[in-house]
Amino acid sequence: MIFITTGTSLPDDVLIKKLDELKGCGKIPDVLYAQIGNGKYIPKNMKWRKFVRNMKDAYELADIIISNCGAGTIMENVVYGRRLIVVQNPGVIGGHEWELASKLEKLDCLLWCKNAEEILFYIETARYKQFKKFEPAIFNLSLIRDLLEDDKKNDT
Amino acid sequence: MVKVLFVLGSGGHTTRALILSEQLNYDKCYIVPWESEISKKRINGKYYSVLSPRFRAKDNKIMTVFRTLFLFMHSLFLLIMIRPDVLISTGSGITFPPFLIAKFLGIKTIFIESPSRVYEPSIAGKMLLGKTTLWISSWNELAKKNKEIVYGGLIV
Repeated sequence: MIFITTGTSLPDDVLIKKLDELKGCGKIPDVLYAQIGNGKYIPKNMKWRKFVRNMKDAYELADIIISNCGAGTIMENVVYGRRLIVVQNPGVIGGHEWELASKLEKLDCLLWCKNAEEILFYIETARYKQFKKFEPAIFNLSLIRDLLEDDKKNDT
Repeated sequence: MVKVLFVLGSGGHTTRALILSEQLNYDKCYIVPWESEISKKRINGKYYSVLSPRFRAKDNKIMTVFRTLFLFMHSLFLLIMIRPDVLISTGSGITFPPFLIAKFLGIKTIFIESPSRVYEPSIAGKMLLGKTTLWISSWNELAKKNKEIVYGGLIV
């Protein structure tokens, strides 16, 4: 199964329509399941919901995840090394989400598809690519603790 | 006991602030945008609702100016009343007014930039550069950009 999630606040009709057409003409053998948010295009050849309640299950069940560049979705999946393709939403101009996508693409943790028209190529690549699990550098709490313990010393 | 005031926002910003808050064993309270109902439900402790400058994306500019001025006044009132030792923000859009007031009152401030900013700071982040006690980035790339920025790692 391939799970597709577009932003709930920023839907991506172009991506959903493209995938629906590819599925319709038999180019994608997998079952497609999509969260389309407030998108206007209603798919004919795939299972879809406006909002998927249990995203975690959908991520776990999917062989490949296709998502917009949302930081939350990216982080949730790269830490497990899942097969993730992020697609830049043409509706977002001057956004910043590409920063994270570009960084994690360099680390081999995801595939970054810059144009929805090329999505089929990325799906085929994702099937064979080795995705690296992203291991985040955990936040250094002592930065905060040191500053606050200075406070205490000043009090006494 | 050190008193920490967290400046929350919505979505991912709040998630990170709450994760961090659980890791810090201090006296804690929170400022929440008035309209972020979901954020309020997630807080386990005392919180204060404030009017956010950008209530809705389509708001007109005059109202935004009014709301911003109101947030400055409200921040002054809250900070005098709560008397925190430090303000912590994980990148919320309402950060700037309370942080500026805190600087004038001699209260320490910690700004932690969103992990989706790898190369460039956010608008709030840019405005706060040089005005905080600590400005922490999630990525080394960003820390190398400016002497004011300290690399801290990811809150996960």
